[in-house]
Amino acid sequence: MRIEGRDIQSTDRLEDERLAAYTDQLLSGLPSEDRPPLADAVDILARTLSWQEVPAGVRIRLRQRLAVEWERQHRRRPWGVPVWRPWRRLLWVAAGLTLVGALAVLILSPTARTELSATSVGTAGGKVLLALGVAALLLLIVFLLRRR
Amino acid sequence: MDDPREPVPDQVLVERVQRGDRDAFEALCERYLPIVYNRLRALLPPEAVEDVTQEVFVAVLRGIQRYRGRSLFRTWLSGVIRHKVADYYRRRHRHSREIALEEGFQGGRADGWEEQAHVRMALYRLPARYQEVLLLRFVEGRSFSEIAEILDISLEAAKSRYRRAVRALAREMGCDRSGKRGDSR
Repeated sequence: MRIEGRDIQSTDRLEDERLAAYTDQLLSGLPSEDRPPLADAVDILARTLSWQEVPAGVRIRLRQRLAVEWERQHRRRPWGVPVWRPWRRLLWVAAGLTLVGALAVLILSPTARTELSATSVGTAGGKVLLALGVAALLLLIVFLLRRR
Repeated sequence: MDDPREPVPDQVLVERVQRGDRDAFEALCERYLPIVYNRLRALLPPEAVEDVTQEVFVAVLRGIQRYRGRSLFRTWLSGVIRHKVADYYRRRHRHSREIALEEGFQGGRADGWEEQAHVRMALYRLPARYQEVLLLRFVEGRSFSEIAEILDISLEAAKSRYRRAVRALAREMGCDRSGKRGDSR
């Protein structure tokens, strides 16, 4: 049984070699006396498949299309390059949220309020500015989260 | 003829593209355009080759950030080509022209155009590993040892896969055991 299996294997290998050699001869334009099984299919492939230089027009139109596509891909983030990778974006969002949290504690905690009232932030104008700052930060965070 | 400069490896070009280097992307396109174009010529009707070539490179540009270098760039690119070819035939199938084309083959004798269309469809239907070995040998003109190197297999395995690929293609084309197109059977 094992000998029979080995025979089949070596016959297969021989057939592989014959077909490969036939193909090499055919593609290099040399006539081959040996015609292995599947030779006709190889003939068809050699007849129908070939290499051709890329026409200049195809090259030019492709370059134009890719230039447009490149611009489209890179225009979206004129200043956002540092936040383009997801982990960097998350880092920015986390930093923003920490800042918002710190400001919220500063405004809402009673002890901090008493201390703040003695500073410029404690004035009515200061509080409005602080609120606007928080709002702007929140908007920035939302913007970053919505980016691709 | 020989370029004294060492060509920049694909992986280096890809990393540059990922960092936003447009020149690197152009170099990568320049390197692979002839291969993509000729592979598509083997798999698609002539009128579709240019459009799908563009689609392939646009897909490369859009997807290159996701390429992690786990396989060779050309292997990844072959996958993109296969997807785009499949997309094309799916779209075309909806217009049911392919069916009409296939019916045309049943008549037996084929002129050059029909034969080419027949081979295209048979190639398209082959499993990727068979399609790849035939495209490397007949379209890119690679020797069997080059094929073995590209596919990362032994020379014997490359020749064996080649014969199986030809046999599968012959079956797809309705050839008999010798590889003849079957008019009588």
